[in-house]
Amino acid sequence: MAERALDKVLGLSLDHYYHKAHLSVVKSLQSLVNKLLDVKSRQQEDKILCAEIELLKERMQSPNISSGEMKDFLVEIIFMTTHHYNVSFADIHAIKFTQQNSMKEKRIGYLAASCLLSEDHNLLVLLINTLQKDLNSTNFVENCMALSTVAMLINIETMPAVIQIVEKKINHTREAVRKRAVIALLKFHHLSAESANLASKLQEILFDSDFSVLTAVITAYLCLAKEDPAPLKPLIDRFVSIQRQLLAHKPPSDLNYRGISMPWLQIKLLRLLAYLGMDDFNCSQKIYPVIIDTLASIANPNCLIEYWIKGLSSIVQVNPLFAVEHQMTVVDCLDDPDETLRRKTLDLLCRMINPKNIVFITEKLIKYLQSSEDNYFKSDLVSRICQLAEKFAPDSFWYIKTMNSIFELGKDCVPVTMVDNLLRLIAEGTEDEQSDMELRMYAVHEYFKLLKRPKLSTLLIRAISWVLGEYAYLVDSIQMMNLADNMCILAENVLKQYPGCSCLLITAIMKLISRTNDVSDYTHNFLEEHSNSVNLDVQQRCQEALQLLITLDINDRSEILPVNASCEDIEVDPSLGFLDTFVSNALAYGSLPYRTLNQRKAIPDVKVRSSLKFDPYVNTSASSKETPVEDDGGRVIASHDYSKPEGTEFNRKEFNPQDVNAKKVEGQRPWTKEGYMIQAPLGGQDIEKKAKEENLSNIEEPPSQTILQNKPNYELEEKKRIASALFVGFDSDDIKSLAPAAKDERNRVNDQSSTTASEVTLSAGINSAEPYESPKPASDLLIGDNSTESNLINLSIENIKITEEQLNTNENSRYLEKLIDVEKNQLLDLENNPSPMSANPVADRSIQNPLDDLTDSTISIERELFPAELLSFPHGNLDVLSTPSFGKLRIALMKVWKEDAFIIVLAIANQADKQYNKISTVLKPSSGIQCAVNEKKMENPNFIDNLDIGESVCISARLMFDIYGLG
Amino acid sequence: MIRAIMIFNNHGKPRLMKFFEYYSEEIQQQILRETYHLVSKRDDNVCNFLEGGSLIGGDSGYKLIYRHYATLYFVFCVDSSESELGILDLIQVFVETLDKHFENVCELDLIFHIDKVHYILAEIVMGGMVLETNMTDVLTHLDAQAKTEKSEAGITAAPARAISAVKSMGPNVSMPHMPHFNFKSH
Repeated sequence: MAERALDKVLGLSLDHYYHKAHLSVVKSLQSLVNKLLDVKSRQQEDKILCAEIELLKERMQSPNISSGEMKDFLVEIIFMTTHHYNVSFADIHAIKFTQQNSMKEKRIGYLAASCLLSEDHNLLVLLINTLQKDLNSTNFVENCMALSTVAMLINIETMPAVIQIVEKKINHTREAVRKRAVIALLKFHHLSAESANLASKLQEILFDSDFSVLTAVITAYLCLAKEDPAPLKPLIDRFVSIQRQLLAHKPPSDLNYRGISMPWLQIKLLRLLAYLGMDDFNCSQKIYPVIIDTLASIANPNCLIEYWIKGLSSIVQVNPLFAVEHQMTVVDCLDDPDETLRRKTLDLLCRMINPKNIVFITEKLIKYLQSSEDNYFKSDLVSRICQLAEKFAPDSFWYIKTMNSIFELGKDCVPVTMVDNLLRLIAEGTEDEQSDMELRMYAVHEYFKLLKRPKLSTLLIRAISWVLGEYAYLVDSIQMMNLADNMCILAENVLKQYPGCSCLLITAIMKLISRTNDVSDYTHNFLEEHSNSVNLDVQQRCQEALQLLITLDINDRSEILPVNASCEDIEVDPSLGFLDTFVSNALAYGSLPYRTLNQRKAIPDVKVRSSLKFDPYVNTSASSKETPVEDDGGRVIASHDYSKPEGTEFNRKEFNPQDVNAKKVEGQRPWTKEGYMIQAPLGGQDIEKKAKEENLSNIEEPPSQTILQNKPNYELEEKKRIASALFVGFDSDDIKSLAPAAKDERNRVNDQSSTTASEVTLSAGINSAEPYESPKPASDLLIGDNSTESNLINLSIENIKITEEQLNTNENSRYLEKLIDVEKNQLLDLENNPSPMSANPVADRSIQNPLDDLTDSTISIERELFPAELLSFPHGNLDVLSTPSFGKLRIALMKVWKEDAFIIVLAIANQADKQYNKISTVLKPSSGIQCAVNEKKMENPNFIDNLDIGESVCISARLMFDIYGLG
Repeated sequence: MIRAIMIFNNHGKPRLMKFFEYYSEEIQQQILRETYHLVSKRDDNVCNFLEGGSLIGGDSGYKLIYRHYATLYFVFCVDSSESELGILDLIQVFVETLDKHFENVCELDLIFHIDKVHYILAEIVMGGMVLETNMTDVLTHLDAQAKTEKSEAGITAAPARAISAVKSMGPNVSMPHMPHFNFKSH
């Protein structure tokens, strides 16, 4: 190919460049280019060129400059314009140079002028005189130069000065001048259509013998035809004859390009004819033969036949008869090995389609659909066939058959809506009920045949399942039992790959069931087998089908799935009135009334917000350290792992009520659904010791505790209590078994509240952000009544996380408050889990605690226990820790955030009719936090000797980080 | 109509710029840069027509039709009245003409003989209109011009030398009249 060869030569570098002998190079340009070829950067290049321009400017302005030098300078200037440098100083030199006598110099002058000047350049008038002179020159080369420049530079103002001379030039003896004159006139026409009068001038040379002039003429006519084809219609014969001449290779053979005579002129002519023939039958009639011939002329090489086909498909829309003449060629093209050609032919066929040939053409198209691999083409073809089938279908039977083939062959390229359309046609039918029934029966027959095929496309299954489900009863020859079995087989086969199809088939089976009692064992087994399928849709449908079979007789079934009712509207009662009884029953049983989405959004549901508590109740490392623990007998005696019920079992066996009889309550939840919760404490002697050490020895232990005690053997009992508090092992089984016991305990507490001496242990744990080592819940409250037996109630409040920043800034207190709120919510949420601790504190309290009903008003009373000074700071919600087990002893906990510290305030008020003695409080922070109790340095345990009736006491723990230096 | 013709190399260095409507130097430079970015990124096996950039043609529906030969891109920017395939072949004609004229054309020919490249182009495209598509005709016309120039140089140079010789002889020697030649060679 010529292009390849050019590829090679154009790539030569300077090294290979030899100065071609016949071409003289402008010396100054050569040196400039040599300089430029060495540069490394754009800036450098810019510098060189700017310097060169300055030099040129200077030299060109010097008076003693030869025309030869000027010529070289102008070549350099042209080079500069290519590089977009502003060399406007040279404009005047270029204009002057056009006046040179020497042809070579004049040419450079014109070239420089056309490069430098533009249509609206103010020096253009200076050029007019030269242009006129050169146009009038007898030298045709000068004429050509001038005409080229005119076409480039003339504007509407200067046009009158040259237009007449240019018009004369179209009759010039030389074709080079004539064609330039035509183009120049065309330019004038663009500038001003009225003054140019192009059309009449063109007519003068329309019969020019030179084809290159004709090219220019046709170019001009094409422009005119684009504007208004009407005046050119009389010339149509001439245009056609030019085209015929070209087709007949009338022009000399050196005007051929790749074997075609003047293809550019042909393109223009055909375009021109297209404009003229548009919306005009008579003109078109004149044009068609030459177009057919043109197509025929290029149809010989095989690669061009597709253009022919493409052209033919355009013609067919205008006049279908043309294709008829060439039907044999079209048929040949259909089987051509060239795919593009076949496609174009199909395109043609689609355009040729009419009610008479639709059957045949669709057959061809479907055949092609079958063989094609290209999905894009396929989907295009499918949509075309569907469109045509809908438009021209001879009858519905054919339509169904055609669509079935499309569903089968098109596969993924067919949109599902096509199936729906077909089904709608079958279901809705026409107004003639008789023919509709025939159509349906036909469809049933068709689909019954298809059903037995081993492989079916999903679309076909869609159609099959619906049609057979709805209308199988119409055909007597089809046995329902047999049909249902076949469907089961198919559903089974496609279940894995297309569960959706299986669902459709099951529904179809359901429809069959609703019409008949004959259900084979196979179908029954199938439904039963899949009634617990992993696919929920399949499962649901199978269950429904089975329910239909089992619970309803045949009449009721057809009420659910009525015969031939697919087009009837189903009335939906949006008020769902039939559910009223169900709802009222549910409400009567205590269900919450339905809340709309907006209501649910407005009141964020704590249960919904977070169902997981991320903070461990117990530190796992600690628990692993402490459990299991072996007692003297080497037996595993305790575990507070929730998952290990044997620990608690052991405890129940091991600890008799005398030893340990503790009540444990988690959080504010002494009540569960089973009743009042009392947890038997765990642990043996050594655990108690350990616990005691942990509890009493030093500051490193995180939980702070308040211990109320009114018994002398305080220490021993205390150990036991703490031990039991340490091992809060709950399991649902335990709780059930413990529930009755718990009730007993409660009674006992109530009894004891009348005695003068009772012991209460309070423990409020403060958990810093750092992990702490205690296995205990974050904070708990231990109340032991040791007058007779040791009762321990463990009341877990919540985890309080304090990070250093939160402690330091007042701003964060709100955040902290929120945090605590959230955590409380989490805790509440946990309470609603079916865990042993589960209980709704408020509800349970109100229902199950007749002694101490803590309502909101009582909370506000307890609020008064706290010093008003503290309440002025941001503070958390008041936690009422009082439980029935305390009797009339009210205990409340509150968190206060001061600017420099976090304060936990524990308030205890004695509202009982007895005196409490020796209340001991132990407030211990986790490591890393300094704690001062009642504004003093830590003193633990803190004893309150006695709490009289009606008296209250406030213990506040001030927590600070070490950096405050309080330690 | 052809709106612009650009020839630039693989690095975007312009080798010939011909605009058939007015653009300032700055805009011309931007058009070049934009076109270079549009064209140079394209694979060799993709279509040779594309929509023009924002500066030239984007809105007016101009198309860029280009061919890539070794180190050079030949880009024609045309409006809707031109046939793309016709222009594509016209580029080929242009390049073949260059090749014939320069006898194995290379990039440096376009640099050193920028004037001649312009002349060849002027034979093919005039004021944005396709003037001539036949390589033979173009070359014939170019040859005719070259011949005219040559013979002109031969004839005019000799008398000029003679005149200078006469001038040096003295003021009294009268100047002979230059014969008038009409260069109607062909």
